[in-house]
Amino acid sequence: MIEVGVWRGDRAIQFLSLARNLTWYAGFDLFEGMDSETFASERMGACHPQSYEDVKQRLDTASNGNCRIDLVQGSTHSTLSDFALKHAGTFDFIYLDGGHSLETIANDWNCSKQLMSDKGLVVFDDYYLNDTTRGSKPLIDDLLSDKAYRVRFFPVVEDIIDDLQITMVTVSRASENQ
Amino acid sequence: MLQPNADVLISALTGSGNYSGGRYHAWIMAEALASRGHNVTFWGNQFPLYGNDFKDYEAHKRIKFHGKNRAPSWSTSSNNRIVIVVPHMERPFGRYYAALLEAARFGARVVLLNFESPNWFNSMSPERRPEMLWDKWRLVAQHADGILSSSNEGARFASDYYNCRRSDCLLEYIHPAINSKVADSASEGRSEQIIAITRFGNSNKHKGGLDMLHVLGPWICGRQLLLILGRNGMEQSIKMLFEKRCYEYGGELRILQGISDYQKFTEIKRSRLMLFLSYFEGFGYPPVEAMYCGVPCIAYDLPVLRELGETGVTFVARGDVNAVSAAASRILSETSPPTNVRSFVEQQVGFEAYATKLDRFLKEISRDGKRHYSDRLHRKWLWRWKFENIADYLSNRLQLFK
Repeated sequence: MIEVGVWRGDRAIQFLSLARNLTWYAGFDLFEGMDSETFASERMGACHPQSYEDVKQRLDTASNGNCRIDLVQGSTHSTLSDFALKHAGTFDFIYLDGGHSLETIANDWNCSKQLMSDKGLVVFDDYYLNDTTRGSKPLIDDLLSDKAYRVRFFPVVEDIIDDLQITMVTVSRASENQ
Repeated sequence: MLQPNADVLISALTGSGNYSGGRYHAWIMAEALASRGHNVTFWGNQFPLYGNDFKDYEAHKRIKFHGKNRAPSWSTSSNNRIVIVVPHMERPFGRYYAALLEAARFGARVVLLNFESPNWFNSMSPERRPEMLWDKWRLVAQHADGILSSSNEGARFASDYYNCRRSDCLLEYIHPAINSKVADSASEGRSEQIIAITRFGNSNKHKGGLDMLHVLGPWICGRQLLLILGRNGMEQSIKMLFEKRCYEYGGELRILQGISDYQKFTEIKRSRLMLFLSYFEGFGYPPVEAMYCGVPCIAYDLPVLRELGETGVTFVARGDVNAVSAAASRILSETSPPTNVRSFVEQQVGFEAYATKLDRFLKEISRDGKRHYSDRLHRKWLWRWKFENIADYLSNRLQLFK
């Protein structure tokens, strides 16, 4: 699986414990390399950068030893693109919760399309029903009319702190009949 | 204060094919609170099988059923809201956080409906279950304003198990009501039927269904054994064993599955005796229903059943099938009617009595008005809600997460 937006590694640890059959986890993040300008433009909210080494150590501790863990530091505009060239069609599950700008989400999706296996599944975090200036809504709404993909929405909850109506979305190939 | 019109959201997953006493209790709770004038929304996933068994209750039509994943829109701008979480054990877990987030969004009070706990279950059941199955119950208890158990015994174990609760959390018990209105309307008429309400299957060993096979004796001759089961029924091989055993003693077997309360009470009233061989119960409706209908009942000796059954139920040691058989033989040979305990049962678990106690409990819970939830807690629940929703989805979809 791939996780874009590792932050502290909390979710990665949960995935590592939940997915007993997981053989390869690849996480992408800027970690401490995120400058204040990027932090603002990607609308990162309360997700203040964490150190690569700290997160790597946490994940290694949580690993059961059977799963390869790769953490890749840097902007996904370059790191994920390079990774997609090398590992196209390899991943069953990709979780996108990195930068919240429309450009970054579009880039992450373009790479995920290459990386996902035939039966692969991409989950988009941060679909905001009441905000189209950030998050995955504009991209997903376009995907709804793309017959090559199947889109499924999770329930909606209210984020009262940021006044957002939030949901998540899964995208799979329409040819994958599940 | 709760009066006069609190908004109450009861969150309960109701999609399982099998009967669940906890979920049945939750629906009675909805009826009781609606009858006291509160705005009740029942947030399930499917309309429960037994929901329509309460259609003759005065406030039945005022209960709003919401069957979607997204939280319902609460009907008023009340500052007096309560979220009652009816817990479940297996995925989906996202609902727990959705319910807590709703509470945080509106400053609602949170109540956990507790009908079992691992320390209790594992002390009674012949087969232990891992404690982690109850983790999410503890999660809710940790943030609850009140933990309402369905028995005194349940509250006693809850006090130990939910030691993570807030210091001001109210720990109480109220015996749930039985569907007395339907019981009263069910047809009368005695027969020589022996009735047993139980469940079979690997996950229901604590229900003691197979013990029934070993208690059958000559006393079944000329009589019918009626097994009332949930919708999942029983394996064909087990059914054949029951048929064979009944036949050997000159009796008959009849099986009913997923029946309405009306049918259930009609069959209880037709019965000469009820057998209830469960090793663990959170409350134990059938013996109480038998007492209400004036039908003798033999049950394994569980402290929870003694709370109401001391005078109306014949108790035998757990697992002592010979003692059950002997007691059945004795009761069936008696000509005098059983002790009339109906008025006692009505007083304890009649609908009106229950509604009054529940109303009082929720008033106490909401005595300090709206609750404040920190941003930190809200963010934490939002994060967990996301994760659990994904995990719920993936556990059904990707082999990776099996």
